[in-house]
Amino acid sequence: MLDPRTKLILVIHYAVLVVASGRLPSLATEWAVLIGFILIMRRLKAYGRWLRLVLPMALFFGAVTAWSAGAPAGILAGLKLLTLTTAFFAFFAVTLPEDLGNALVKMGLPYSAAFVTTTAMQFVPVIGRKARGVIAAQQARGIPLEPGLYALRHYPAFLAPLLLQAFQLAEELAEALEARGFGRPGRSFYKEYRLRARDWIVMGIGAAVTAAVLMSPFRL
Amino acid sequence: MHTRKNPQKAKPTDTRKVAYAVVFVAMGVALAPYTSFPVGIAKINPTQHFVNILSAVLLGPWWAVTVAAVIGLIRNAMGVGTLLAFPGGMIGAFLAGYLYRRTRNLYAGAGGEIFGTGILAPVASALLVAPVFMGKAIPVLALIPSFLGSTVAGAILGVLAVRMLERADLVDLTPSLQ
Amino acid sequence: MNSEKPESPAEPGKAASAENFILTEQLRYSYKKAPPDWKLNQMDLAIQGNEYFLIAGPSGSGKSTLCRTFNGLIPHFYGGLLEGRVQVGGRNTAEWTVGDFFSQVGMVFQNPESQLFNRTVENELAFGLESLGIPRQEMKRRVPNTAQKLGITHLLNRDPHSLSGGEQQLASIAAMLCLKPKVLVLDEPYANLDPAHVGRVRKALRNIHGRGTGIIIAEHRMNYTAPDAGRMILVDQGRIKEDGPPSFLLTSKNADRFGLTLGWKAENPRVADRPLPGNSNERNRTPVLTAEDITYKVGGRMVLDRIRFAIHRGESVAVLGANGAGKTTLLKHLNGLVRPAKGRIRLLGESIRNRKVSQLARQVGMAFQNPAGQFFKLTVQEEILAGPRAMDCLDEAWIEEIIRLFELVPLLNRSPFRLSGGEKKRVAFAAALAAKPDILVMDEPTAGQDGHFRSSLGGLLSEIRSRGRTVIFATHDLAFAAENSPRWLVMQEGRIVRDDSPETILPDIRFLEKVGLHETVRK
Ligand SMILES: Nc1ncnc2c1ncn2[C@@H]1O[C@H](COP(=O)(O)OP(=O)(O)OP(=O)(O)O)[C@@H](O)[C@H]1O
Ligand SMILES: Nc1ncnc2c1ncn2[C@@H]1O[C@H](COP(=O)(O)OP(=O)(O)OP(=O)(O)O)[C@@H](O)[C@H]1O
Ligand SMILES: [Mg+2]
Ligand SMILES: [Mg+2]
Repeated sequence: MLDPRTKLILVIHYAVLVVASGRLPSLATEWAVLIGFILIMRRLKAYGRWLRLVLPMALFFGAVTAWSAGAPAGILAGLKLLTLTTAFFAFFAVTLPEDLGNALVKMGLPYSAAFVTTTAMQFVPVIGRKARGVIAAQQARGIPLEPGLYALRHYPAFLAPLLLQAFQLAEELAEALEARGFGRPGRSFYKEYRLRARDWIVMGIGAAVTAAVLMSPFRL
Repeated sequence: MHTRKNPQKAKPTDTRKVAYAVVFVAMGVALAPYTSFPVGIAKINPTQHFVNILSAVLLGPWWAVTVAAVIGLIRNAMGVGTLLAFPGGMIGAFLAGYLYRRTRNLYAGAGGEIFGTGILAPVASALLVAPVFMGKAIPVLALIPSFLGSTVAGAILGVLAVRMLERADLVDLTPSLQ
Repeated sequence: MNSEKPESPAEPGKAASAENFILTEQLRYSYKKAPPDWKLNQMDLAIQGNEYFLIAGPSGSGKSTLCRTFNGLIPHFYGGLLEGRVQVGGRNTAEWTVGDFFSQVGMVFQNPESQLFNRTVENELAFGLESLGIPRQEMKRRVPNTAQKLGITHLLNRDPHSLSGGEQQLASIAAMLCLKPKVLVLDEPYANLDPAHVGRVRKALRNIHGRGTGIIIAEHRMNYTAPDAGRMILVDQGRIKEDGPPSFLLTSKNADRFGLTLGWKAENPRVADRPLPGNSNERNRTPVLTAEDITYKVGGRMVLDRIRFAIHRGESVAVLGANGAGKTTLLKHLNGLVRPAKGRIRLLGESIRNRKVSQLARQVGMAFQNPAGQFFKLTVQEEILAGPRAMDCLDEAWIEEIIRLFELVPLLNRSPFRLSGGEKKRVAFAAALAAKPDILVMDEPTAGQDGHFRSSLGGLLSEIRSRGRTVIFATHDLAFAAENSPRWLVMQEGRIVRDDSPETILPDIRFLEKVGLHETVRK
């Protein structure tokens, strides 16, 4: 398989093409290509679920644009957002976040920044559980607490205990990190990240295609 | 042989900051559905700005920017955020962290967050981010209401939270983390 | 100056050999700088590198604090004030950093949720090796080897947060073992494990010890630890009260005073000697609580499968089962926090389907598995009053009575988040009872608690029942269940496989083994 850095560079090339596109047919083609890729990777089902989340956002964005710059611009903006985010969906569908993080560390990103990104993804469900737990605990004691505006008005009842628990979690995590030598200089990597010949070839082709399309008289 | 005095004796490591950053990012992503509510067509989501205040005060400007950027990245990767999350989160986070570090005043930090997110971020979005999608700038006014609403709500929550943590004796604002 | 460090940090400090690997001299420690509040006091302790060493003592006595001095977390991470000295492998911990010790003194903390932070168990095992800068080839050898030693090879690709409590505990131990530490320190490893998992972890630890790694373990449950340990200390208020072989120490007067023997006798759970208030004499009346074919699924998996039972007023019912059997999920159905996919719960004959949790709270009081997760006020007093105030049923006399019952007077103005484990549980029970519910539901009431707490909780439960209230609790603690409840509901993989008295269930070792409630591991 390709090195995560290669994939990242490819997706950036693709994003540049999408951003440079200004006509509906080109955007539609770019979107279709991505869907084809997702189909090949057998991730269409996940993409469907993801699309349900993204579609309202694209519509909203398109609406705001349409309101300020006219309907055609609005449609174009919505579609462009959709295609661009789909490109990154496809990227994440074939790249583990930790691979991306480690590869970027090799390129000079500070290790702590990469570590925060990959580890935070592990802790999102943990915090979600704790949030549900806080609501459950209060309901169980006769205090009705629902999410949304109500939670804001009753901020001390919802956010305060959650925050206290989150701080506890952070302290314990810090302790566990210390106990496993986090931050010691001279880390090695369990997985190997190396740019092989095929990575260079693929990157070269990607750059050539992008340059050719952008230079050509054809208006995207 | 084993009597070396460690030159950086008991130097507080960055580990705590990293752990707090992890938890703040997780909160920024996980709590959004619990605290967001619609106002007209815009959706107010104060969580990001609430987290901004916390990380600005506890971790300093650079970590605050990192936390905001990572929240934006994860929300985008999960498909629940727009690209506007980047200017909408990072500018306010930096300003809040910077002003807090200079003044050591919580309200100055909150002011930085509100000015950064409510005024500077819509301008930056309209001038830099929007043209990428539309080929031309959109009026700043179209963005200000939802940005400003979110940041004011979030900043108020953040200030209340820091005060509460101080009262609960869980956060000692004066020394430690900074 | 780096050259003065030991050649390879992965190799245990050879200079110290087996002789007194850990040495404390006149150790005093306070988390607060001013005024100092000594949590460890005048500690003189010498532990050899190959011992199996048990630290016992009541809740809040300083066991965890002592463990944290062994790898420099105290003072480097916690700050505070440390007097005297701690020497590990011949080096004074105050003069080196945690990063210099972590590979020699492996530390397994109590809460697995926060100490597992990688995407897969495999990465979890590799993390410490990466910190040490071990070459990749060596890592690729050590990770699968260690996993195999602990029997968790099949878990290597799993997300650590999706594992059961016991599996998480094994993964945490493996992550430390990978580093080939000289000594492994474990803080209450058995608190949330079912007997079968305890058996697995114990066997793994005995194995490791057999290969020459020292084990230091802080625990309340003597029956799981004392038989394995070669030496134990009894700590109270930061001082070492006793030091010697467990068999000798557990028969001493002090052991009795600190309630250690309670857990010790529990090796063979016996049904209570004192007569329990009978459960059966009210069976002909309407039950207070009935479950009718409760079924619940998460992500297509059956978590509860056609659960049915009826519970009468004044009964005490224990729900037993292995980790992940569905006990917590079942209890959460009783006050509507989780709604069944099929079937219904009846409270005094009426279905609770259309009632909100906050309304049901009036009749069903619940104390959760993790007490820290259920507090939301800044003082203990506020915490206890929150429920009755919200439901408008404040009965001052009753509140005073439960505060007395749970011995909470000295804690009323403290923050519930800052209490010791046992105190937190007591506040949680008091809060659950404050609104005078008819039914008290408790999830793992004895997890991580000392002997004193366990016996006084037993007394409290019978007092509560004698007032006509019903008690339901989930636990893996067979001894506690046998002493406090004449009726057991045994769960396995979401089903109730037995509803019977402990007298008939306990002798049936084959059955207990089958449902993961007996220590011996099935082959
Ligand atoms: N991080 C901390 N900051 C301040 N005080 C603490 C901290 N951790 C523990 N303490 C206090 O130090 C004392 C000893 O606590 P420790 O956790 O060592 O007890 P323990 O013997 O492990 O108890 P348990 O059996 O309940 O785990 C307690 O009074 C506790 O409140
Ligand atoms: N909300 C949920 N999402 C996913 N899985 C869940 C959820 N709730 C319960 N489960 C699963 O259902 C099973 C039963 O969980 P439950 O917490 O009820 O077990 P338990 O008997 O209380 O275990 P323990 O003794 O470890 O507390 C577990 O396998 C758990 O992973
Ligand atoms: Mg402890
Ligand atoms: Mg449970």
